[in-house]
Amino acid sequence: MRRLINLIYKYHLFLLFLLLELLGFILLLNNRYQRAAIVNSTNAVTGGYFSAIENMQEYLNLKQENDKLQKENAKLRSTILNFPVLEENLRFFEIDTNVVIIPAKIISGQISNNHNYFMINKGSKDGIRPDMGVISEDVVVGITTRVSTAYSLLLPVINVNSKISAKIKKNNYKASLIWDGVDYRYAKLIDIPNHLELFPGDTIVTSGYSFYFPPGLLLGTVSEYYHDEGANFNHAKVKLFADFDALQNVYLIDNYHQNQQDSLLNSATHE
Amino acid sequence: MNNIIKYAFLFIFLVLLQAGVLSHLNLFGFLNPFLYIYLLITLPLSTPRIYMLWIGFALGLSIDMLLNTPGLHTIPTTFIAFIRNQVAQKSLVRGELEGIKVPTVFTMGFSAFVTYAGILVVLHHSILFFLDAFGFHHFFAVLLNTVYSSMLTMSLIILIQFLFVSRKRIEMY
Repeated sequence: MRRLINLIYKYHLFLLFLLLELLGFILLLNNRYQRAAIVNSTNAVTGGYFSAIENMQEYLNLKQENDKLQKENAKLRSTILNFPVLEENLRFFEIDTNVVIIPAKIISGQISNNHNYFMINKGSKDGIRPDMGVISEDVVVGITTRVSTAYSLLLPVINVNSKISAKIKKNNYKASLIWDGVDYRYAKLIDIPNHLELFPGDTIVTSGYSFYFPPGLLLGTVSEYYHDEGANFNHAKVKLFADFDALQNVYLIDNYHQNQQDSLLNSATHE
Repeated sequence: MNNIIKYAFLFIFLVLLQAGVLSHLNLFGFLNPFLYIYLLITLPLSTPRIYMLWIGFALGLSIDMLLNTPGLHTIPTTFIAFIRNQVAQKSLVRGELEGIKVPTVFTMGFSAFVTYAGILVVLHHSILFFLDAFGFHHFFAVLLNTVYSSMLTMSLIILIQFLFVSRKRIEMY
């Protein structure tokens, strides 16, 4: 016993070092396999700090953001002007009025890691729930993961854990969009049926098969197409529409149907 | 006592600077300096090693909490806090650590300081980037990233040494 105590005393520094490193690895692995962060900064203190910094940075991008919003405004205005025509055409369809859009601002985020997260300045008090789709204009940004009262974390397309159900716009074939962690401007489209021929410039949009996003939201354009010899599926490099380096204003899609749709799917798979 | 308050302020300042500004620079799209380890490099060499470990751990954990990267910064930061004194010892040609209280460009000499800080920075960055990539899939991309980021961090450290650390103040320690 005495020898054991002596031994521990002799190596106490090294033992503490091992213990602290072990703690670090537990945190790291937990984060990797649970998708959402345990030690997350969606709390008042850090959120407040990032909000203050974002407030300062906002002035730098004011002109750019203004232009963007103005363009979007113009687009919406033209939609309103065309509405009587649309209404005429849509008379026999039931218009889905269950989707609510919530505006939010990105206050902090990383693009240089493999496991990137963004923080936004809206939380459960504003009606944000986990698993809501996040867009910027009509471009896909990501999905909310963790929500506190005033802030939430979102898992952007550029996180290696992200996987989005996509389709090829010109022929409606379904594929999946993932990110390989190399470049924040490019993602990877996988599970493309073998017989398809894709060309640079082909547009990739959301499929609407998952309930995060309605169909037809923009993801990116094909920049390179790879044939996988001997495999049933091919993959492609996709240039993303979203500029994650300069992202500020985003919108969250609140789909009231989501719970019903989820439970329907669950009951179907359990039968 | 005075010193403890000074280093506590440096701790808080470096963490806020790193999480608020430096980690969002993304020069050329991907490059960020990790200046916060400056604290571990310049803490007095007489700091008990058990405190060094705890300071390193707390520093990494604070950064991780702010950047939502649990463990990613804690692991390399604790590691360099643990090996710092040995690295300082090895970097000196004549091996006289006794006379040096605080490792700076002026007390250690330029080349010894660059070796000392360089080894710590490269070790820290390579552990950080390979942990982030979680393996060796994109080996060369990660290696290149490590090299560039290390150079960026090192230039900042040396710049700070020459701008803010005066010869006279060092003699007062």
